Amino acid sequence: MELFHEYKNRYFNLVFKLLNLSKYGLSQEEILKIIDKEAYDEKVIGKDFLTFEGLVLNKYKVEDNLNLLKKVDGKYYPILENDKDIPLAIRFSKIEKQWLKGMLRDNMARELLGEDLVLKLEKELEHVQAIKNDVIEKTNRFLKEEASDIKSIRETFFTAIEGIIKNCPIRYTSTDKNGNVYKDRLALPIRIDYSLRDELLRLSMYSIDEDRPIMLLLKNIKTLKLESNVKVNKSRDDMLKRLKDEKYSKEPIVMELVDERGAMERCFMGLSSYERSTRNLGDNRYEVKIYYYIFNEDDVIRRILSLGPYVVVKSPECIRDKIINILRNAI
Amino acid sequence: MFADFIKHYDLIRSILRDVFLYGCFSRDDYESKKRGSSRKVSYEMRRIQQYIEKDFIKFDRDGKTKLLSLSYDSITNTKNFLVSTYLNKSFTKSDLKLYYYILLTLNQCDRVINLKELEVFLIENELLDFDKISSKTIERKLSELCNSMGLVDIEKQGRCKAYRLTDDILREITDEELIRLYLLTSLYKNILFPNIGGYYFEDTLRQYMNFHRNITEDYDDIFQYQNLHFHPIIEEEILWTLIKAINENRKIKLDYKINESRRARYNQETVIPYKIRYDINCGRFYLVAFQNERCFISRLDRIHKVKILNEYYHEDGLSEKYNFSMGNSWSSVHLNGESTPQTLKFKITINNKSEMYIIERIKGELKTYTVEQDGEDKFLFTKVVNDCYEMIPWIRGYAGKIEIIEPSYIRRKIDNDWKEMLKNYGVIS
Repeated sequence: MELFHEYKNRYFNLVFKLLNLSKYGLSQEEILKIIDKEAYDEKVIGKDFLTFEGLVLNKYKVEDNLNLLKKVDGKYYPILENDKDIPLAIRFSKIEKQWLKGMLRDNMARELLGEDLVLKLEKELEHVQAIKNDVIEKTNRFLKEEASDIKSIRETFFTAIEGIIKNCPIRYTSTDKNGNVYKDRLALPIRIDYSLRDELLRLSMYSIDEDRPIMLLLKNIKTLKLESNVKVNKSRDDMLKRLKDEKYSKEPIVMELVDERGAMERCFMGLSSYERSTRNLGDNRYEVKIYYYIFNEDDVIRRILSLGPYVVVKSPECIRDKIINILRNAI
Repeated sequence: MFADFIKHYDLIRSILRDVFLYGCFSRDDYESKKRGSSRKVSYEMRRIQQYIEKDFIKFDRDGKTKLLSLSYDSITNTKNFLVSTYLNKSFTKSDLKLYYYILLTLNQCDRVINLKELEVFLIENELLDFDKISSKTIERKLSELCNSMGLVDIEKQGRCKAYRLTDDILREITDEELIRLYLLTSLYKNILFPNIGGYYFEDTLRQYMNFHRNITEDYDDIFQYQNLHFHPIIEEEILWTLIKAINENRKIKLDYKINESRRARYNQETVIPYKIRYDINCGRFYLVAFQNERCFISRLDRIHKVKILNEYYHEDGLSEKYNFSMGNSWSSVHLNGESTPQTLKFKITINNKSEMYIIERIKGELKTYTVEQDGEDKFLFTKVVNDCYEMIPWIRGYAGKIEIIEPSYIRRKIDNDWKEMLKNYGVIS
C-alpha cells in the first residue's frame, strides 16, 4: 500500500464516520454539521456541480447518489445494518500495522508500554512483515555513553501524563547534574518534551513555588505524585499562553542571507522549526526574520554562526553584539 | 471526484517544500525555478491553501506580488500540519461505493464469503448493477483490500477464494492498555519513520477507542519536541518506496536531479538501495546505494521517482562496503575506490569547571574520537572523518571554542570565515 492512498482521503474517512455514527439514526442537520466540520470550504465536487452533502443525503438521481445511507422516518441509517455495536468494524491497514511493529522494536517504547501489552501486540502482529532493523540511520545526534534506564522513569512518565490530562499539580523531588536535590517542589505539569537530538524525555512544568516555567529531565526526577488536594486556578492552556506572552521574542532576529554554496537551503532547513518570514531582496539576497522562545536563543545563535559568512544579523542590536563578541574571541 | 484532489503526491511535492521552507517566492519565481508553468504553479498553490489548516497559512506582499508561506511556532503547535496534504488522493465515486459496500457486507455477514455470495448479497440489497460494475472490478477491489491494504483476509474454499474482515488485533487489549498504546503512539508518531504511518495509526486507533470502546477522553497535545522538523514528511512517499525496496532486497531505478539546472546522473542505471540516512540537524534524508563497487548518495528531496525492479540482490558484502564508504562519514560524504578518511585535530580550552558541559557535548556529538587532556583546562580531540570539510558548519557552531590544529586548510578556512564575518559586521575592514 502506498502512503498516499485514496482510502486515507479525508472524504473517504468522512463517509466512514457518518456510517458509524448513523447506527441509531442521524438527522439531516446532524449530518450537515459533521460534513461542515470536516469537508473543505469548496462545496461543489465533480464536473457536474454536485455537492458532497447532496451525494451523501441522496438528493440526486439514483445512479448519482452514494446510496450508503437510507432515510427511515426522517432519520438516516447505514444502507446495510447489522446487529453488532457498529456498522463498520475498525481495522488497521498494512502500513499502520507495520508502523506499530516498528514501534514495538524500540527499547524505550517497549519499556513504557510494558511487557504484557508488548507480548499481546507482538502475537497479533506475528505475520505482519516488519521493516528491517536499522534501515534508517540517524546522524548528528547527541548521545551520551551512559544508557538511560527507561524502567525507572515509567511511573514518572505516566503519573506526569495523568497530571497533564487532569490539570492536577504534582509534587516532586529531583536532582540536577551537580547533585543538588530539590525536595518536595510543587508544579503544574504542562507537557512531556522529547528531544530528537539526545533522545531524552523531559517534563515541561510551571513551578508553583517559583512562579516560572521549568524543564526537568525525567530521569532526574526521583519521586513524583499527584497533589489533587492542591487547587490551581490556572489551566495548562493559560500557562502555554503565558509562556508565549513572556518567553517568545518580542522582536525577531532579522538577518540578511546571500545564497551561495547552498546557504539558503541550509539556513531554512536548519531553522525550519522556528517561526519565520522571508523577503526576496533580489540579487541572490534574502531577508529572513526568525521568531523564537528566548530559552532557544543559544541554539539559534549557534545555527546562525554555523552558516558562516553568508549570513549577517541586522537586528536586534543585542543579538548582533553577542555574535560580534563570539567572533572577536574566535580570532 | 473533486477537482482539488490529486492522483500523485509528486504533483505538489516541490512547491509544497518551497512554500514551507522559504515562503518568499512568487508564481513567476516558481516558474523560473522550473516548478511548472504559471498555470500549474497557480493550481498547486491553490491546492496547498485548501489542504492546510488556515491557522498556518500566511500571505505576505512584495509590491504587487502575493507570497504564500506556512508558519507555526513549535510549542503552540506540535502537530505536523503537513500531514493533511496526504489526505487528498483522488478517487472515483464508484471506488468509494464499492469499497464501503464490500466492507458493510463483510461486517453484516460476519463469516467467510466468496465472490459469488458477495455478488448475490449485493444484488438482493439492490446495491449492485452489473451494467456499471463487473465481477472483475469487484474481484480487483477485494484483492486490493486484502493484498495491498490488509483490511480483508483471504481464504481458499476448494478452488475459489473466500473473504472476511481481518481479525481485530486489539481484541485482547484492555481499555487501560489501549490508552497507554494511544499515548505512546502520540509520542512516537513524530519520532518513528514514516511519520505518516504513525499519524495514520493514531487516527485509526482514536476511532477504534471511540467506536469500539466508547473511550472519548481527550489524550491529545501531551507531547512537545525539540529538533523536530516538519518538512521531511514531504519526502516520505519516496522514503516509503525505498524502505519497501530495501526490505525486499530489490534493485531500483532512480530519476534523480543533482540540482535545478542539471538532470539525472544515473537515472537510467540500476542501483542497489542499502540504507537511508537522516540528518537530524537539518531534517534531510539521504539514500545510500551501490552500483557495482561504487557507493552513491542521493538526497531524497532531489529524487523525482523511484521504480522498484523485479531484480533482487544479495546482501553479502554490502555491510562491509557500507562501513568502508560511510563508517566515518559525518553526515553524507562517502568514500569510494582508493580514497581514505582524514584526521581532524582540534583543541578546546575551558575557562572553568562550569564549561565542562562543552566537552561532554562534543564527546556526545562526535561519538567516535580520541581525547587527551592537557592540564586541567585543555582537551585535544582527534576525529577520523571521511571529509573534514563536511564538519565546517559544526566547527563554526562552536565559534571561539574549537581551535583547529590540523589539517591546515581547515584551520585557514575557519580563520578566513571569522575574518570575513567580522568584516560583514563592520568590525574590521
